[in-house]
Amino acid sequence: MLAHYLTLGLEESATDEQIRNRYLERIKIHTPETDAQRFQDITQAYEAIKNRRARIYSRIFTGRNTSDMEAALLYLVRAGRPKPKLVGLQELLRAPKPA
Amino acid sequence: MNAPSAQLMEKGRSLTAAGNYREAIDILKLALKKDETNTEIKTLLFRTYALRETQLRQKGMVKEADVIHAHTLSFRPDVQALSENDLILIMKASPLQEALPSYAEYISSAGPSSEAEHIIASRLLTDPRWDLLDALPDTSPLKRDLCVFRDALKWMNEARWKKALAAMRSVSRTSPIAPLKMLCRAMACFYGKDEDGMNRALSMIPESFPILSVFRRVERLPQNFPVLWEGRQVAEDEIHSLLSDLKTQRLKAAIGKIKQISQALFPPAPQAAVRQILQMIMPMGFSGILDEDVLQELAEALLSEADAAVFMAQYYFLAAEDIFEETADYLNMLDSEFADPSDLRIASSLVLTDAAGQISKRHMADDMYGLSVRTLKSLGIASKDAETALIEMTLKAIELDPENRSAYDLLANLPRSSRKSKQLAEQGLLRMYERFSDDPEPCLALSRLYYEKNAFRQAETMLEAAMKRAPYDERVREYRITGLLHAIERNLQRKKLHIVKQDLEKAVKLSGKNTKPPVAVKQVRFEMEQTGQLPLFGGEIQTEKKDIRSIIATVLSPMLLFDRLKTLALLAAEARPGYGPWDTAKIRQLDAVFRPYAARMKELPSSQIRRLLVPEEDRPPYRMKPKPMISIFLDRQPKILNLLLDEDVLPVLEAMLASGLTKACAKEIRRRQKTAKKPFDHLLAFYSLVIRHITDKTDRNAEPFETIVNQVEDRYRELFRAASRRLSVFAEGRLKAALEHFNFKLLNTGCTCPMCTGRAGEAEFFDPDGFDENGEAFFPNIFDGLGELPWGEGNPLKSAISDIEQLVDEMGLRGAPEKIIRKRRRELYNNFQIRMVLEMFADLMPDEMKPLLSREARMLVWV
Repeated sequence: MLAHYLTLGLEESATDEQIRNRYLERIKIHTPETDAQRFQDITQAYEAIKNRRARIYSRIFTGRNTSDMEAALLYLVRAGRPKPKLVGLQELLRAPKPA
Repeated sequence: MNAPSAQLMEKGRSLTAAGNYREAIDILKLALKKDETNTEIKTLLFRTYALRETQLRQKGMVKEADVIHAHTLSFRPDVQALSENDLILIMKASPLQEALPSYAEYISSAGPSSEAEHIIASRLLTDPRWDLLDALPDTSPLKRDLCVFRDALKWMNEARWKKALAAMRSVSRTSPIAPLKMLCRAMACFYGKDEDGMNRALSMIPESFPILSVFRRVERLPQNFPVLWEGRQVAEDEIHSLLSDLKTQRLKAAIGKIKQISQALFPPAPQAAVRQILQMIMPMGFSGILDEDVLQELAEALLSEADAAVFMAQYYFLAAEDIFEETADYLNMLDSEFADPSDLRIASSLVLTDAAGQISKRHMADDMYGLSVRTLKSLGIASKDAETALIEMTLKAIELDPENRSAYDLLANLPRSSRKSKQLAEQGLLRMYERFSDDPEPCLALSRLYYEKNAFRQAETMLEAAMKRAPYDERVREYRITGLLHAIERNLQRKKLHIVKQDLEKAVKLSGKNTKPPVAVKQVRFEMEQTGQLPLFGGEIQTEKKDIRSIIATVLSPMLLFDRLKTLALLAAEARPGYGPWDTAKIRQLDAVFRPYAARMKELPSSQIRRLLVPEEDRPPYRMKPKPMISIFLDRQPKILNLLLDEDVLPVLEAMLASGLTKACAKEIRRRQKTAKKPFDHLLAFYSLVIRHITDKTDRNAEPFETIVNQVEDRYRELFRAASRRLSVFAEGRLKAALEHFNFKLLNTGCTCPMCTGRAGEAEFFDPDGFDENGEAFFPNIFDGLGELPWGEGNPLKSAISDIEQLVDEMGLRGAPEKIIRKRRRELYNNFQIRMVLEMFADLMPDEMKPLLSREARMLVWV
């Protein structure tokens, strides 16, 4: 469940309308031609949480419906991409740089 | 030491070039001592000291660097003698207040230095001493862009990169603050999720801009730059490593990794990520990679006690082993997952529906016997009958959530042989009919039910309702037509031809691709029965009955060859003397029409010929037995099989076996084997071998089967497995078992258990009346194939009790907790042979003898 909300960048309290609007927004940016993987993730997320019944179903049956665990976990990882943090120049310059 | 100063100077120069500044300084000082007025040596010393100072500062040796700095300054040549490199050395080594005057002097003689300007701009980022810039002449490009620089820096420090970029719009490419503009662009692109744009901008920051050039060197920025993110990106390798730890049972490592990954994925609430990960690895428990106890250990280590209990209840429910109890347990815990009452109702409904579906699919309904009243109540079960119980569960699901469409769909397809179960199903389907008022599906489901009850009028009313709801739905039309055909047949037999006429006209109007031939058959029957007073579709009234040949010709005329042949075959199938209008003469006339058409079958492709010989069995609203089409066509066209391709012949061969045409089937196989290609050559050999075994023309032996199967390529193995299963219906005993399981070693075994003798599906495996008095024969025979279980002597049931108790001890279950015994029972019951024996024992054991068994034994046998 969490993975689906993260994929769409929504809170768990999002309404059906918010979920649908976010879905439509995202598939316009991530089309099958430009980013097939992301498109698939977004669509999967939408189908899983698009209405109350779907959400309840996902919460109960995810364990059984996971046919490929590795793929499911990687989907979660892709969904859990960290959010960018707003940093100013001084913080940027002070931050330790990778070697 | 005695070398001349020029030589020492050269040595000093090469040591400097090699980076050996300390030694170079010593050599150059010596050289200077020998030639104190040599300005070249002084300049060299200055450079070497400056480089040494830079080196010390880079190492963090600030005090030492400050000491060297004094020497650097003491040897600083006049500005006019300074090269740009010397200037850069001074500026890099000196604080801003010292560097700027040197640069100011330099500019006035040599003009601006872009590298020096970069150094100054870079210093101002962290130490904005704008006042110091007054020392610079107006020819300094930095001074020209000073206002823009100050504004932009303010926005950059506030993280308002777009605003900073806008402020720097007028900055040219050659400006000393152009690299800052690139940084602003890179950051604006980063926040705008334009990674390509960001990388392009970063690549334009020159190396000479000291601080910012670090960003350019950072590979795969920004993933490797943690300050830019809330949390961190989890790498794919971490997932692979976690899965590996789980597969190899390295639990402690796995727990640690799950915690780390969850924290990275969702810092505000890592527990949500933990639950998600645990759900995603549940399949490891289902497939046995992870033991349930291990999964429980994981859940208890990672979740709260309450959450771990809910997780495990959900796991057991999804694993669906002791499905009744585990469903009831999970239902009782759902309120902790779904606090909202209406969500809880929906969730409960979905759980019940799923459980009922699983029980039905896996034929586990009989597991309900022995359940507690509490469990039955949770599941909505009041009946003692398994079939009715499933319907009650589904009705409860519907009651909890009347919008649960899957519950209705399940209800429509659950088995219902008793009056009670039909009644209950009808109640639920009527609810569906009311609730989904635009949907034809409940109408179709109810029509099927009414046909089962022989309530034809109600069935037809429902079919009419379906047509009203979905007049263009092909499936609905087929249902309607089949219902009409059924009514037509009834009314033809009752000679109610005026009703037949009405229904026939409706059927003809509705008929489609699959239904033309059966409708045409009824047209022919009608025309044969009626005297011409009831023309179809308002046609001309005839004064006498038509000749059957002209009737058939009229009915067939609009049809294609395939449909004509199908119609004729259907007519031939029903035509027997005394049935309806058929007599010997009419049957002969029908045959006279049929044979020329049969001769034209070669005009059809192989796949269509197959469809004629082996028509579809399922036809809504009820299943019909297959008519012997194959015999009908073979009688009229004996060489018809020659027209079939190998890929179309298998279902035909099976239909021949089903029709008892075993010899003809064997003959056809032999004919085809001469020319068949892979994989059909082996397949036909397989079929031939099965037929020889069925007809007892060969000894029962695994070897010939295994010889064939071992020659088959892997990609065709599934084809053989499927064919073997289909052929098992024609076999009995060990051959049946061997074909069902695709395991031909069973042909050689002496075991008499149900699996090995192919009697596993039989309801009455054991006939108590056939039980011999001694009793030893029964249990030894049963346990024979198991090997590991001993058998006793004396009273058969008492000795069986002793055997069961011994089993309990051997499994180490004496005194074990209920959960463990249930788990071991599940494992035991996965072995079909053991399951059959124990279930038989459970059935035979009278109630008064049950207390003779220990607690553990009772739990093993009766749950």
